Amino acid sequence: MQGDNALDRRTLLKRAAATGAGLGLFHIVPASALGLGGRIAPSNRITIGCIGMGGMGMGNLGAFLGQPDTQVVAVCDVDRNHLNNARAAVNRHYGNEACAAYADFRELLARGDLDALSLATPDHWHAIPAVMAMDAGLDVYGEKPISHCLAEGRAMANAQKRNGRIWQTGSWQRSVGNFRFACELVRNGRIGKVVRIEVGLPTGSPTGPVQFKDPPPELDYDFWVGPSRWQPYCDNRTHWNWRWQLDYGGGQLMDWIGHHGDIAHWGMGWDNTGPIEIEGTGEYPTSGIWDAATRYYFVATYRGGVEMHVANGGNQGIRGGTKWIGADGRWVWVDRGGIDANPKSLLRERIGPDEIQLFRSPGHQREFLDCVKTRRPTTTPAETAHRSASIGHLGQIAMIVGRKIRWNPETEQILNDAAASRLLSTPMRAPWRL
Amino acid sequence: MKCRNTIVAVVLSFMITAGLQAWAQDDPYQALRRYDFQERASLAAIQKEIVAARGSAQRLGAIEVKLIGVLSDASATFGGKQEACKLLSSMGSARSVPALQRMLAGDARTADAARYALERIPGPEASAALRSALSTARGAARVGIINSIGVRRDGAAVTALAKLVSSSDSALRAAALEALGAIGTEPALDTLLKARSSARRDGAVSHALLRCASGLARSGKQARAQSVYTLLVCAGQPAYVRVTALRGLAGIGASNAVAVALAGLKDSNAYVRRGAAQVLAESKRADVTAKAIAAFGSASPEAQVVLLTGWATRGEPQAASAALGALSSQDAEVRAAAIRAAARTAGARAVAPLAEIAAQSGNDGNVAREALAGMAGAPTAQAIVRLAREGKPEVRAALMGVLAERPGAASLAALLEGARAESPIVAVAALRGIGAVGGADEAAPVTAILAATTHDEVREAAGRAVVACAQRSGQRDQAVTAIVGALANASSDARITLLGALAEIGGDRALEELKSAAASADPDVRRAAVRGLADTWTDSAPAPLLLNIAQNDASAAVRIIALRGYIRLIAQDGGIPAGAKIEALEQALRAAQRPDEKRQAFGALRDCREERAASALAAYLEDADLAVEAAEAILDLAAPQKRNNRDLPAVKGAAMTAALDAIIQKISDAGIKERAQKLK
Repeated sequence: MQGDNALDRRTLLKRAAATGAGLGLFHIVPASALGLGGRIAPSNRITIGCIGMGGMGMGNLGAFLGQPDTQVVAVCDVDRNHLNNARAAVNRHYGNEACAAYADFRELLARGDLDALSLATPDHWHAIPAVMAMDAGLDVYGEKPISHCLAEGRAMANAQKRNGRIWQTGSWQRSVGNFRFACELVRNGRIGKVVRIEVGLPTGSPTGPVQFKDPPPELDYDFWVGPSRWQPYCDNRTHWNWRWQLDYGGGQLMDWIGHHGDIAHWGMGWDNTGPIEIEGTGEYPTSGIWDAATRYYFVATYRGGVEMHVANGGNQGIRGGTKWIGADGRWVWVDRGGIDANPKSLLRERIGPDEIQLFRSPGHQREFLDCVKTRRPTTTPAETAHRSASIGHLGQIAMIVGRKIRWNPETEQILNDAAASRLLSTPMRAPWRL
Repeated sequence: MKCRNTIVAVVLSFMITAGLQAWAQDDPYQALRRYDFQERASLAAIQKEIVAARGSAQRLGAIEVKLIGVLSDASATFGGKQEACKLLSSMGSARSVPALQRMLAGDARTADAARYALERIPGPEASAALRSALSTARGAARVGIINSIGVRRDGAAVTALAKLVSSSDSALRAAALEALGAIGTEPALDTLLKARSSARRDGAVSHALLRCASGLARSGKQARAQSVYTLLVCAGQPAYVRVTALRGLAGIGASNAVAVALAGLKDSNAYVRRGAAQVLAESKRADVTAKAIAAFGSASPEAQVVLLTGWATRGEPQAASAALGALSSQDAEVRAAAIRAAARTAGARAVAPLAEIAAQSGNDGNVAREALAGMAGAPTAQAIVRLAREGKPEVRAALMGVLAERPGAASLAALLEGARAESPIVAVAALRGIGAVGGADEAAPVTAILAATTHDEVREAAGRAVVACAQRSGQRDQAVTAIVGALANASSDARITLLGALAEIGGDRALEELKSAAASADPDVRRAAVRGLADTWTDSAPAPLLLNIAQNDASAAVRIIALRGYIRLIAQDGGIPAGAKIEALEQALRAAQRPDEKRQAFGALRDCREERAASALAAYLEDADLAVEAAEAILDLAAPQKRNNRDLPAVKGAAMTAALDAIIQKISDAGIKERAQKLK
């Protein structure tokens, strides 16, 4: 099949990598022969490459390895230890030494035999490989929050639509029964007209003073920093802890808005829209390297006046999880491992075929693979993930500029506030671009 | 005098220095100059000033000047300048541009920091600065500048970028092409087309053209966008370019889009076939759908899957016949997609064929049952219920599971009717469904079915169903009443099942009935009652009765069942004091005829952390079959233990010492002896 498209992709990619160019200009020939059920020959499986082999990346890798119709053929990480660990896990699973390992994701994308990509890099490294992959014809399972800023999210959603790709976000709560049931109760009017939503997320923490030092030899730190602003290396900078730094992540707010904020949207049927006003406050550490808000509270108001109150756990009395409150006091609350309602009898309700039934997932990664075959949009396409992340991004902007901002969810513009509008996108360090 | 002047001068100097130091410490702009990548109080203070100054050009201007001062200060740290650039990016104006432009000429990091601000600062000055730097910057800094020009969609940069399109530096060339694509104007397009003429099969050019066409379409220049897409959709381009170009054509409603898509269905490349099918399936235009349906039969299986899935997703009624026809496809994936599509597009017409498939085992059957469960509309619901009543047994059985997934009175009524069916497979499936959805009201009819049936599997299914109904509804009395009512006239087999159900449901009344049955003259009934109490009952209320049976029943088997149940109930009842529990277990040991039950009692004694338990166990240290287990249990008591997240204390005292001495004397195993010695 590669003969059909024997363009100079490999050459281009290698050249792009050598020169540090941000975009690999290549085409990928998906390994399109797909089977169904039972034991499937490796040549007929969905071929997957994985970028970002830290905690989430390894979790997703395990899920894909467990599917009979996939073949993980390559892994990529800028940390050699992560990379070797992932490659060993894949080879152990298949009982061979076939898994390829790359330090540069552009080389992985240039292989020419991938159908899909599993992307679990830090937030600041989501958009570039994701858009490159989709522009090159790959379907993507990408971690949440989808983006590091609103403009990146829009670019990713556009890339999915433009190329007709399948995208599944790692907002896996949509594949869990109690979340789906809670949303179905809300969607089907079991609590009446919703007037208020509460989204409780975890609380952040600061670091103490740090000592800057050379990065460890196994880590290509400059590549890790990638498109974001350069900061000197120190402990607690990179793996896992990147999420508490605004240059690389978005704190607990952004780490979780793609879960509980996403569920709030799902329950309301707001997958393709967003708030119209956002106002709030955050407390930002003024020392140490972690600079994301540790305590935060903002209110996002939607058309029709529904208010979504987003806060770190306990702040403003908001309980962790997602809670929809109806005009007459009925409510539904849901979190991992829990669901509650007032009245309790709501929990015994059943949703009939003539009501709104949300998708019953066979498993988050499994659904992605099914959609790769059928081209049905997943439960969490890029547009949906972008809208979920938008809640947090807009909250961040409102907290930083210290005033209420008005948002047009159709045009995705901040209204009458040029200064706040500048924060919709984040300039990238050379040579990276989107 | 001179001395006094000197003192005054020194004092003044000290005061000025101290004042300057204090000022420098308090002034966030001074602190910013020393920024060390982690002490951000100065940043927070300046940000606060910016927020407070909103609406005041004068105050914002003053802040901007101070930040420019940081940029221009040679002694300021890189970190400080980088943060100053970030702050300027959010509020800087043309005033900042000269200082930022100077930084563009610096090293790559400094240029990146300056671009961070310039990229966000609106106005022609920033654009001009970037264009100007384009000719002087080198390496990664130059690439970054091109990238920023692309982000700003600076149409005035097209001429300058055009020169770079033919650069031998691939990074520069790629950046320039992409920037032109992002700019998305007609001059940018002309430049890209020229580049294409010299490198027709260059993916970089194709990519830029796609992006440019998208920009042109957004700005209302559909005709030019169409010309680009048409250029790129042809064979010879990479598959992903062709599909994206086709989607571009469809997106602007181009006249040739449908023809290209239909041709794409027959393409030799599977990726293109899927892409074409996706475009056709996404179209909501009736004429497009009609053409796609006409082409469906000759489409490849993977394209058929995509078409069917797309039609299913939007419930396209035009596609019903195609979906129904594809139910008999040779391709398993097509069949699965067709089942889902038929359910979503064909309404009640789909019920009968899907029900036939639902009766099959394997993936098709699973998909069909799931599809039927989710089908909406009253005619569909009526068709399902009708078939559930009138279909052949296999179909009826399959539909019972479907009805259980469709809440409502009609479903429940059909399930109850199915539960009374002569066919055991229908009845069992229906009872399984009732068990999944039924409530207190279903307990009586299900009990009646249980009592009346002659089929073992139906009886067992009914027993499970009545228990499930009672447990789900939380109304045990209704179920118990029904069961008790049925017991009197039930057959022996039915009574056994009913008694088992009673034990599972629980409650005082159930206990009385079970106790009464445990005295039945019918050995099978007696045994069922004892088993219910012994194996299922959840509190120790029936323990005395079970001990009595264990001691006195004529049947050895019943005695064993009762004794094991007795020990289980005593052991698991946390409300019994340890002393009483030990006494009860000693009774069990006395009643036990076999080592198995004695071992079970030993296990229970381990949790009784009192000396008397050790004494009870020590009595078996000379029993050839049980000595080791007894010794192990004593050693367990003698040492602290952690079980089920509970800390159990070690048992100490004279009786324990005596028990340990007895182990040392009577047990031959050296390891056990040694452990006993250590625990003394």
